[in-house]
Amino acid sequence: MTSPLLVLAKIGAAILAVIFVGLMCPYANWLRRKIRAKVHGRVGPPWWQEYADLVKLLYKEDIMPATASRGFFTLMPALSFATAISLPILVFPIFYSLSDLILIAYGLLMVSVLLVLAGYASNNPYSIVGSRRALLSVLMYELPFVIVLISIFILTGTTNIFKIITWQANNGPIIMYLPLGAAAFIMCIPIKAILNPFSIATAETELMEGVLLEYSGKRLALLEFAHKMEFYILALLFAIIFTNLPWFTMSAMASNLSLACGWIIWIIFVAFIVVIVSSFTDALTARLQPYKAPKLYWIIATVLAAVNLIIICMLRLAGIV
Amino acid sequence: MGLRERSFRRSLWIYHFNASSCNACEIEILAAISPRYDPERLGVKLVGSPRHADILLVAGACNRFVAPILRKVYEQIPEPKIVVAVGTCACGKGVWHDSYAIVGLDEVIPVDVYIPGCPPRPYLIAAGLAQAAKLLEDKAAKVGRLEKR
Ligand code: SF4
Repeated sequence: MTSPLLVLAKIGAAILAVIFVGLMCPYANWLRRKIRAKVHGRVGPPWWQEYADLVKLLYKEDIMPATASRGFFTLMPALSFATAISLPILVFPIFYSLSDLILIAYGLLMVSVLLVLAGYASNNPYSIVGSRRALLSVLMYELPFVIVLISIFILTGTTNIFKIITWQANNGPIIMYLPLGAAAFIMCIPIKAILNPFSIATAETELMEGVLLEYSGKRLALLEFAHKMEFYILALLFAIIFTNLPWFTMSAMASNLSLACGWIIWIIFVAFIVVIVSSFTDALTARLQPYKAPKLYWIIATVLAAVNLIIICMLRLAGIV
Repeated sequence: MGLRERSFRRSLWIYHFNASSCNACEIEILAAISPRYDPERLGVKLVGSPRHADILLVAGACNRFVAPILRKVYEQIPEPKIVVAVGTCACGKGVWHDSYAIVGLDEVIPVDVYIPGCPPRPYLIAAGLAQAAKLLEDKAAKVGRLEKR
């Protein structure tokens, strides 16, 4: 199995995945802005808007605030960028031991926590309030998110993405078994990606962008990129772990390149549907008050996820799935 | 035209500052970013922090209280940046030309684009933003040339 050619091919696939998702995630964010514009009855930005924004930020002056803690202020954007570009390698089934739900959960958590630390590093009162809210939102979504992952583990008996994909190919997509869990997962996306009903961490009107307030130039570009990446990665993750079609088994895809391409197209298609759904909720809702969001999460999303977990446990005990 | 100039031309992040205006200019600015005129087509985005901004949109005649704050906000915006003065008050001093309390905007910060009117029409503001985009592009090109040297 471990011939050098295969390793090289896998490394090439990993680099391709990173480049592809890196190029795709500003596009997904553009889609969000465009949908928002359409909901408002506007024309909206042209398709390269998000790329122009990122390139412009790279050429802007980089200011180090006098109050910021220098090391962390530089380190946090770099670290969150590094974490973000490693996420596609974990989410796409390329390396057998790396594609693991637990590792992905940690990687996604890492991006959020680095954002919190980035807010604290800038030492601005508004950023610190923003960081507290971001930390609160981490506490909010992590519970239902982990319950969903646990239900997937109980259902399939594995946390490995390879095995989950093959399990779905044999037994049907997981969304059939975990519809409420999938709903809870979808509910976690806006708050992880700081989109509108739960954009309490970077509330641009009350907190002046919150955690991102003091960042400018290249550092802001890195943080924004990590943030966009997280949004798109969540959509891809949803597509991979919930909606795999019967004929896409890992062994068949490894030998048949056109089948693998079909799988990638299907995944991207589902990811776009997820992006569109979260864009609509983003455009149609207003920001919740910070103390209302936890109730919503801890009650609705957690109950949805937990009910589904209990159902799956019972089905499993009865030997049905 | 290189990548740098192109991106500056097409991505204008605006920080809006109220330097003691009577609020009518503010309302017209909001009208200018409303769906009817939709400056997001030009890449305009309102940002909450001066650290992210490219364009400082100032309305009002700037009194003695606001002047040091305005100066501070201006200095916090990373280069290259453009200042757009909205309204007659911000362009000259308007009806307050002989007031003891008013400093005048262009004595506090360098202004690049003047949009006259009391208050200016929204389409004038949109036109001013388009002009500011051109100036921002020139400034970015200049910064690029300086960096190459
Ligand atoms: S220009 Fe006219 S509308 Fe604008 S702030 Fe001055 S007085 Fe008010």
